[in-house]
Amino acid sequence: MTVIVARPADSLATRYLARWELLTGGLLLALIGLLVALGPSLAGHDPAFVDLRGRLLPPNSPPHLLGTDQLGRDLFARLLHGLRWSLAAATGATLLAFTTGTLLGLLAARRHSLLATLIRQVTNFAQSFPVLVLAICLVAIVGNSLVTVVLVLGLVTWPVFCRVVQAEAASLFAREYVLAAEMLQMSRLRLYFRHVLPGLLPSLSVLLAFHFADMLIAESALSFLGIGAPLGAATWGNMLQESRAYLLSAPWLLLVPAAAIVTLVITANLLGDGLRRHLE
Amino acid sequence: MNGEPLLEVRALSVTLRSRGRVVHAVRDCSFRLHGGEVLALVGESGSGKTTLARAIAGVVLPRSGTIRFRGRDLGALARADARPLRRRIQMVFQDPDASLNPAHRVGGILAEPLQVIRYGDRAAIAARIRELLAMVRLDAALLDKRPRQLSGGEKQRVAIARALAMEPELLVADEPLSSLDVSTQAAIAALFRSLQQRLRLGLLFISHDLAAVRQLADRVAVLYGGEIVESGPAGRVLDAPAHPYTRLLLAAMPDLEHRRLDLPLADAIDRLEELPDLPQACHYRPRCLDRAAVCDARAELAAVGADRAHLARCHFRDGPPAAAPG
Amino acid sequence: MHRVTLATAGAAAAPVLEVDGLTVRAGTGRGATTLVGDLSFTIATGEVLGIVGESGSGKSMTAAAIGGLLPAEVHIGAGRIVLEGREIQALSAAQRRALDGSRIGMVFQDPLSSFNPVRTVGSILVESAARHQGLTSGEARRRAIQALAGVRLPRPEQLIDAYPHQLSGGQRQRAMIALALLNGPPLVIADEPTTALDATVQLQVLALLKRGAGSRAVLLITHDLAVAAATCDRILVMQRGRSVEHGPAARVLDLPAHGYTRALLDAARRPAAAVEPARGAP
Repeated sequence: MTVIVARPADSLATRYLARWELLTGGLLLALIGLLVALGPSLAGHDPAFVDLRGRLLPPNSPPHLLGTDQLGRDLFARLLHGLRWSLAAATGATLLAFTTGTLLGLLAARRHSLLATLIRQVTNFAQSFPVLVLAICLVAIVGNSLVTVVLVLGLVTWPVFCRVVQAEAASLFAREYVLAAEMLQMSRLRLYFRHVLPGLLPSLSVLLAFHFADMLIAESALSFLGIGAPLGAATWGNMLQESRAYLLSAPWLLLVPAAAIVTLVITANLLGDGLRRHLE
Repeated sequence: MNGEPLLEVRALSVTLRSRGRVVHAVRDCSFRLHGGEVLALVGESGSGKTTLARAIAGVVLPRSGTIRFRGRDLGALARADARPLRRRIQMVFQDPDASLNPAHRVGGILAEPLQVIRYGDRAAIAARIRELLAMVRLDAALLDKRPRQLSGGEKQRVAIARALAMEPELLVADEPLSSLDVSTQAAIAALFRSLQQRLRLGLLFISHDLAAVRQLADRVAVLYGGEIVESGPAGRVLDAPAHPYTRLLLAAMPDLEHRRLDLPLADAIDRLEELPDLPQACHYRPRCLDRAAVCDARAELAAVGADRAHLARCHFRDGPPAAAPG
Repeated sequence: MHRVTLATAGAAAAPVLEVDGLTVRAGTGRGATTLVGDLSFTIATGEVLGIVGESGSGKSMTAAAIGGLLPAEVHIGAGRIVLEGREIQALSAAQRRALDGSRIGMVFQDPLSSFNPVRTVGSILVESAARHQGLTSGEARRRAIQALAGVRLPRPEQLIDAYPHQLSGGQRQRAMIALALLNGPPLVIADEPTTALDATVQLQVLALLKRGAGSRAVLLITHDLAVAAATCDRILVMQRGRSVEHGPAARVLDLPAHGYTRALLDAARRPAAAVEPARGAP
């Protein structure tokens, strides 16, 4: 027996905070899901429809809820279109990084083999690889598209998952219940699915949420630089990019997509934080 | 004992890497274990007993040496060929909290080995689980519980039942009692004894608790620094120890009969001066209370007196170094 | 021998620690459970009292209650704890903190988790000596080195700058004892101090505690009757939060009055012929 010098006051606060974060994050997520499902039709306008007579209308100028841009396109419609693009890109990139990273991490965790060393070296290399160089190369090869963004972000960020999985799986492999399972001489697949992956789930789910937030920001940044999204397409990065010329005369062109990005990132972070606290 | 041994370990060495340092955890260990026999591996933490057990269990790879099980060299077999043999070697770990997957229920934990060996359909597996529970004297009501809902003794019984599900011939038990309460320890030790006798198991019992070893073991091997420093029938090793390390372990154990601390012994250990490392010297020399000049050269594991079953790795195995110059 | 007589005489006058009707509860209201119920004992200078019990017996909670280390949802429900004539519960938080480390020394089972991993062993000792004894940092450092040498740690001048993880388990436990004894507390509480240690190291640590008891009172919490038999003057056996037997070590060991004590002794003696008790197994 040991004396447990616990701080339940902390844990109580943690519990309430986790609940609050998960609740708020969940509500925001539900709202975002609704907006995605309804899509640009909700705005009642085509995001690409140009109306040069109604240019640069400020927000709350019916029928344009959030106003219009320099070409008279409905900002709300463009925002909703960009939301779909951003979510698709971030989800794709996160899943690609997650799958690649987890697989390689599991392989590298196994033991001190040549393969493990190789994976560690590749991880280091990938982590130090300049994102933009890879992005520009890929754009040159396959052109601007959603796939380009997903590939660039996924291929650059998988080491994040690889490292976490490798460290956690290595400690799981040292656990006695995994050793006991190994002694039953079960198949590798069964060992991984019954004993290793469930043990990784808590940290992986938290990491997924945070990584998703990172990918949202990264996608917008790439789009802002003209990488990934086709020129003129309604993505948040493009909207930010185009807003620069009207910074003083029509600041909402900047504020609307910026606020959208911040909201989405906060949602993902709330969920990630809440999950982390909840699982602690 | 006659006949082919169940387990024969010959010149086994294991090195581990820890923070970039190479540790010789097991050095040149050889021993045999027959079916139905209990061999206790005794030593303090860092003596290499757990690593040796894990090498035999196949979860740690040896650097050199052979492990023969039922006459077959496990290291020389292909993995698929070794698999059915390895299933007959099972292990019980020290801490049942760590050795049972916290997310699974008792029923699932016991069903898993049976599913792995394709024991039979659901009904057959359920019947076998009830049989296993009866063997370790657990109530079937525990099947729906998770490990954290069980007492320490119950958890250890579940771990033993899981090992028995594979119908092992060799059971490796690594400090299976030391995380349990005293009264539970006695009951689990008795369970090991009765199972081992009933099923004619070879039991490799790793422990630092000499009282438990005395209760269970037929033969004892004492490990120090990864080496076997003394081995022989339990009665002789524990009652007439020939190696100073075995004597120290026995003297340092508090027991209910003597009821006093051996303060002179504690002082003698405290007074030991540090010695420079000599590659050829006895590994135990730095801690030895009887060391002498001759210990600068290592002794071989050799018979104590005329007793060929009782071996010790000490120049003074037949008597104290009274005459030797210190 | 002379000292023992003196100590016994002192014991009769005023015990260092007096625990009277101590009750420790977890939770409040209907959901409250009693972890320690109506426990009373005293310890005098020069005396080692062993509280023996299995896990869940409340022995560690007793130590925690006296040491002021109860988890927050656990509280003292009734009873008095009197240290050197002062009732501990009546003290303010600040007075209580001054008490820990200067009047009560604590030794735990796992010294690695009791030491801050990012601080050197020495800095913890130096800070404690400076705070409780009002020493300058130079004096405190000398005192810390003395304390480390006092628990027979080799090369204390170098060891003082080592981090906890650089020491072996036995060395850490000795450093813990050095910290507990540093400010000369009249009471030392050792909660399973040797459970994680090898037999030879256990012997050395128990020898340190036993020798330390010459000038102070020692409360030793242990699950191991053999350890209690070797070290303690009196033994108190706890079961499910209650004292079931309490008396001089020899009497408790030789003439146990309670069935539970007898069962513990039987289990600890481990007769070679022990047979598993038959149970109504299905």
